[in-house]
Amino acid sequence: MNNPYLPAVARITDIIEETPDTKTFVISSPLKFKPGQFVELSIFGYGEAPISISGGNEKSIDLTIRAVGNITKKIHRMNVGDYVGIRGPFGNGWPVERAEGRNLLIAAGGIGLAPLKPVIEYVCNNRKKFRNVTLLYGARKPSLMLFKYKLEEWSKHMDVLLTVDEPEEGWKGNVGVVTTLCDRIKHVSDTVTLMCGPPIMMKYTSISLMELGFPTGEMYLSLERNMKCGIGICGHCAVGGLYVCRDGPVFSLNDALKLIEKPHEVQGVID
Amino acid sequence: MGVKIAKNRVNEFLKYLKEEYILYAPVEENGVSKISKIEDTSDIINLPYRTQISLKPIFFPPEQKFFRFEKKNGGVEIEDYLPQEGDDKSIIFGVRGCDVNAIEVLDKYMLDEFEDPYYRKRRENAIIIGISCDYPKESCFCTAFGGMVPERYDLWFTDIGPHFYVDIGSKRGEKLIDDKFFEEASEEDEMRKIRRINSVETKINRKVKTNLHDIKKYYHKIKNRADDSIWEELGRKCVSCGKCNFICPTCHCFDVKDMTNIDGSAGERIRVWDSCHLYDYAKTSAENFREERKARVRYRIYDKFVFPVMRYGVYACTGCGRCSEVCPAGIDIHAVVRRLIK
Ligand SMILES: Cc1cc2nc3c(=O)[nH]c(=O)nc-3n(C[C@H](O)[C@H](O)[C@H](O)COP(=O)(O)OP(=O)(O)OC[C@H]3O[C@@H](n4cnc5c(N)ncnc54)[C@H](O)[C@@H]3O)c2cc1C
Ligand code: SF4
Ligand code: SF4
Ligand code: FES
Repeated sequence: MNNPYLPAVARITDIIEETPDTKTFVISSPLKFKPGQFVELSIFGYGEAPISISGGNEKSIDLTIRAVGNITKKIHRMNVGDYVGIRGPFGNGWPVERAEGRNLLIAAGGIGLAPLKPVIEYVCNNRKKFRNVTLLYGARKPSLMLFKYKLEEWSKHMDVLLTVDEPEEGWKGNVGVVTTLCDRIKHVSDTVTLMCGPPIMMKYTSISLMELGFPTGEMYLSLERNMKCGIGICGHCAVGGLYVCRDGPVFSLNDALKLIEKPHEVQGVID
Repeated sequence: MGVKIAKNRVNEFLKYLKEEYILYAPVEENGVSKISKIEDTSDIINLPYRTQISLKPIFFPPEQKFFRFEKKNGGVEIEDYLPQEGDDKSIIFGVRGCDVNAIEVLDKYMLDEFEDPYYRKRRENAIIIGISCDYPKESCFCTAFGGMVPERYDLWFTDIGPHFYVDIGSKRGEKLIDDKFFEEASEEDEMRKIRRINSVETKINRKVKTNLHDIKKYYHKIKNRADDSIWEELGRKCVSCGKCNFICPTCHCFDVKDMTNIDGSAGERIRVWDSCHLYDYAKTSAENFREERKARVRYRIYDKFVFPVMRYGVYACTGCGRCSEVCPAGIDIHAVVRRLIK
């Protein structure tokens, strides 16, 4: 009998330091995944945490992890060659196909760029499938921006709009929360929006985009909930009768707004 | 036509079953009634109504070991415990209607849509022999959801005097009917059984006076009370102990943990029951989704009467009354529901 609680053992084959609190771990786990899906990462002896797949190929997947607690701090102390466990991929992923032939807005805050990176890479490799594409990315400080080494490449394929809450030396870009950039997006109608970030960022970005006239029916948010099983049984991720691990983590804004228990990500978006 | 068994033959019948099956039946341990594995059939107790502890721990134990891991030869070795999980044939005797219904609800959560293999192994080979109650417990309100007899069972016993009338509900049940123990029931026996069930249900009904049979209607009514002041009020009473979750035959949430030896070189991953009433239940590093107690109280009630109806078309409450019985704050779910549908 197949046991969905059993992780496959895999090795850390490379570690990329992204920012002082975030590293990308390349894991020797050949998983077919959809952008926006996640895995349950096991650190044996510490437990499991849901982590988005931030990239991958036939041989490995990338996990970009911010050190915040027990498990995530532990993996930050691990080295190339160390063993972890992987279950998944889980979740529905981004509805990238809905954006084909249309405009695409990718809006990310902080670590929220990790689950969107596979979308950005897909766009770069299949640029003709999309019309205008914009990446909107906000971080607390310039030194906390993820994937800085990729931004130049990405900006060849799409408008990249960056902002930080607090500038640091040498920062010449925009200062302010993500919403201060919204009116610089050159396409409004017929835009599919994919969004991931802290609850507050998603809430205010949704409000700003709605005010600017972006179609709400085409706005998608990736929700973050406490998860223990990732497979729809433990109950932890439930929101208003839906399981974020199975029915999500990506929900349309309209569906999220209809939930009886309003996720903080959309509380106050319409009232 | 059903069959019947003389009351003084039941013990023999159970002994006979025990030869081939693992037998579970009501017992009392340290003053608590529950359904346990039977070594000696004389340990079985005769209760007029449900046990204090439900069937849940038989299929979904409070602690389940998933696997063992050991850091070895520069790698990690994993030993899956699933193959060792017994899938022995078992018979659970003396189950009440509310608890059979509760198992059907657990099936929805752990078998039908998403499968839990540990649950499946324990559940698949379990035969249910249920029995009609003689009278209700103080907290019972099963008739709010339908009758005392569930829709599905393998065999169903009803007291008709010197005999139990036995309804056969499945092929598996039928195979247990050996004429060493059973005799054909007459039409009169059947009438007696029906009268018996009706009379007990009438007794329960007289006390309960709640009728939630029209699922669509009542689920809507309860759903529409999401912003009601009742949640504030219950939130002030509840002390977030989680007892209601643990005792409930349909609550199935769990936490997953790693337990290791002292140097962390080996350990086991286990799941343990969890409770949506506890403060950290939905807490993440970014926020706490149900930080307020009233939100957690509402969640549990909605996860019995609203969300499972939306997802599976059934209530996840069977009216067993256990949560009301154990709540230290005196929250009575039946009274809560009555207010919600008013
Ligand atoms: C679908 C999804 C994708 C995610 N993708 C990423 C990612 O790509 N990179 C990244 O750095 N983080 C991601 N997170 C958040 C990450 O799961 C948490 O930071 C992590 O679980 C914290 O675990 P910990 O043991 O370090 O923290 P602790 O606070 O010690 O957490 C203990 C336990 O609580 C639960 N928990 C705590 N915080 C969270 C949380 N934020 N989300 C879910 N469960 C939580 C977990 O079960 C964890 O095992 C994602 C979360 C979800 C739900
Ligand atoms: S919610 Fe209470 S009354 Fe309903 S099944 Fe659970 S324990 Fe029994
Ligand atoms: S048993 Fe009562 S006090 Fe304890 S969590 Fe449940 S409702 Fe709250
Ligand atoms: S994480 Fe267990 S149900 Fe979603």
